[in-house]
Amino acid sequence: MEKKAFPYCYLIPSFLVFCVFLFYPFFKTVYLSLYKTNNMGEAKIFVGLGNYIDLLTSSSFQNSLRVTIIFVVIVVFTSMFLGLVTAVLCNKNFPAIRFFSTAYAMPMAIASSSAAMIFNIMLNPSVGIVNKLLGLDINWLNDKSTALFCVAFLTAWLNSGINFLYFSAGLGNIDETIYERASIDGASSVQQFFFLTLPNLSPILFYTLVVNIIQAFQSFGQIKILTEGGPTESTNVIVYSIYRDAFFNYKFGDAAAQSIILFIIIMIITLIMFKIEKKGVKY
Amino acid sequence: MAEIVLKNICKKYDNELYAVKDVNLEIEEKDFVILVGPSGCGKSTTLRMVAGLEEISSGELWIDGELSNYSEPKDRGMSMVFQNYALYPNMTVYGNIAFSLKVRKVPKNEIDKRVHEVAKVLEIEHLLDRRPNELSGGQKQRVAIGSAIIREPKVLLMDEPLSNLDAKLRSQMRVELAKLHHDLGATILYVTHDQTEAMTLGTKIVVMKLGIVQQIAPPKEIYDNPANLFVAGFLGSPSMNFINAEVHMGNDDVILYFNRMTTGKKFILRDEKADIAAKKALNKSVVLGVRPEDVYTYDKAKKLGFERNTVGMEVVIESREMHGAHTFLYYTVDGKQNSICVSHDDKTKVGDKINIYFDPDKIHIFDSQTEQNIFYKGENN
Ligand SMILES: Nc1ncnc2c1ncn2[C@@H]1O[C@H](COP(=O)(O)OP(=O)(O)O)[C@@H](O)[C@H]1O
Ligand SMILES: [Mg+2]
Repeated sequence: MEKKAFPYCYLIPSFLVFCVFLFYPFFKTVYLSLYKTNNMGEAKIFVGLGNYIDLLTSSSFQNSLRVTIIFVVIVVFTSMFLGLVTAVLCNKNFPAIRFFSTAYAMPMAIASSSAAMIFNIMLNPSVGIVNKLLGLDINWLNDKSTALFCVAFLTAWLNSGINFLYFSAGLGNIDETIYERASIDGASSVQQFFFLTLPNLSPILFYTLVVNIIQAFQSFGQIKILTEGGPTESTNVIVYSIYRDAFFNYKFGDAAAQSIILFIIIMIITLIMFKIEKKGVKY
Repeated sequence: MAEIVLKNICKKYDNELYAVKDVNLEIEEKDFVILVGPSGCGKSTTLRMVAGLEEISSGELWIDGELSNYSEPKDRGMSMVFQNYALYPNMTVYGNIAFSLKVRKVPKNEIDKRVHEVAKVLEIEHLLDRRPNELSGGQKQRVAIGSAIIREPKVLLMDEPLSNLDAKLRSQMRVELAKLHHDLGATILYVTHDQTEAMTLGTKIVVMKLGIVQQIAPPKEIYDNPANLFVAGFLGSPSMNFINAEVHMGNDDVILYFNRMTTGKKFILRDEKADIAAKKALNKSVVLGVRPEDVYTYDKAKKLGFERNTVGMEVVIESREMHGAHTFLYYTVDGKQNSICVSHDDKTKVGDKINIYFDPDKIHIFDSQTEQNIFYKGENN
């Protein structure tokens, strides 16, 4: 009996850490989501699923959902594409390869807030370099039709650094002689990319996709700095909406309910992805 | 048709040393040409230059009468089997074999027909749906060969294709490769460091050392008439016996004295070999080379009539190896291990002292300085 209990003792420290920093906040959030709270964030009136029902019927939350999905799709697609292209380009040996590799991995090392500040200046309608270069006069961050795109693009660029790293590692693992054989077999570079590189990268592509989706859902800093959810809610993604409900409107119950919904969405997407992986990623 | 000519082909890598220097070689249709030599002698480099995977530093590569130094690998009409097989891990065996046809946009039903034909020849029909990581080494090997021959290439290039297989499988695949060469009438350029593969498979052997071709000849020719000490020692197993000697005249005979004439050990040359030795190596120090099967015990030597030519070569047998039909007895001369081939029912035991006799018509003499075989007649004789 003692012998059997003994191994579990090793788990206690990490379990305690998990309890304090993960399980307690999680269950507290679930608890809060069932109450109306006062300004101090204390649960006051039990409303059951009331917060959830209010949310799902509110047009503001529906807007947040829609914005979030558009945002995530743009971010994931663009950042994966950037990471893949740069990794493929840097998979050859050429002079200055180190410079380019560093440049492409760089976004990983940049804090999202400082990148956002720089973007803010670049996108400034009167002095920003973007308008200067393009010869346009667009108020990028204050225009409903461009703000979401700008924020999404910045996020994609920030995330592309780590994708570059993942893909570079994946490409490095592909046996080079298969390309030699393919070039003798008669495959063009394009054929080599689609018949060999992409399929051989598929396990890592999948993994990167999952991580990118989760990461995109959780983007916050750059939105806070660049647009604060505006203009007219056009960049009010769920995470930002949670922040605003909790710390501006003091509706902790609402915020908690939104957190739980976000959690469920991410969980379902991840589960679906792993189900698909079993069929899609072949070896 | 398929004729490949290498003219003074050289390869320098970044370090400015020659990896391959002045290779001249002609590959004719249905040749099975073997590049053989110790590791790092430039065999793979030569093959890869022919394939177009490596740039040719200088020299000319002619394929079917066209200068092809800069043509794309895919336009050279060759296919290649790699040492590690280089199978596409994401494709099934079927996909692997079909690949070179698929990228050339051959119609699907034609591909299907050919894949099944090839799979049948190589006896891998039951594996077509598997992926490479579900195959054994020998099966991967067959798939690699299948992928290479399906296109019916002008030339099939192989880089040490058998070196990742275990000994038994290797000898089995060797037989199959020979059969394949015969049945398909394919032209093959084959790289190996294994002299057995070279001797058994090749119609033409190219022996290389440090990037330089030592000799090009058919197996029997290269075995019986090696150009120099290196070629003589590299081909044949166990290796040729080498004994240091000096050539002198004595009583009208041309004589090889071993051990600086003091011990009375000597070998009397006769006929044409005596004349050549007298002309080319008199009073020089040389190396006598004689293959294990050309060394005899007294009874046999007497029967063959040359027991008087070898004097005083008494050796102590140090080990004994059964090789089926033959037995090899090992002994040491001048600190070098040498051997004699006897029949399997020979009764000599380890520790026995025996006298050995060399066949005067089969010996070789190498100049100690140049290491050239003084009897070597050159490629055209
Ligand atoms: N990519 C390379 N860069 C520099 N030197 C190389 C390269 N590839 C091979 N070499 C050198 O060229 C010589 C011949 O190599 P290789 O053709 O692979 O020999 P083999 O196949 O006969 O074992 C070796 O000395 C090796 O070190
Ligand atoms: Mg090699």
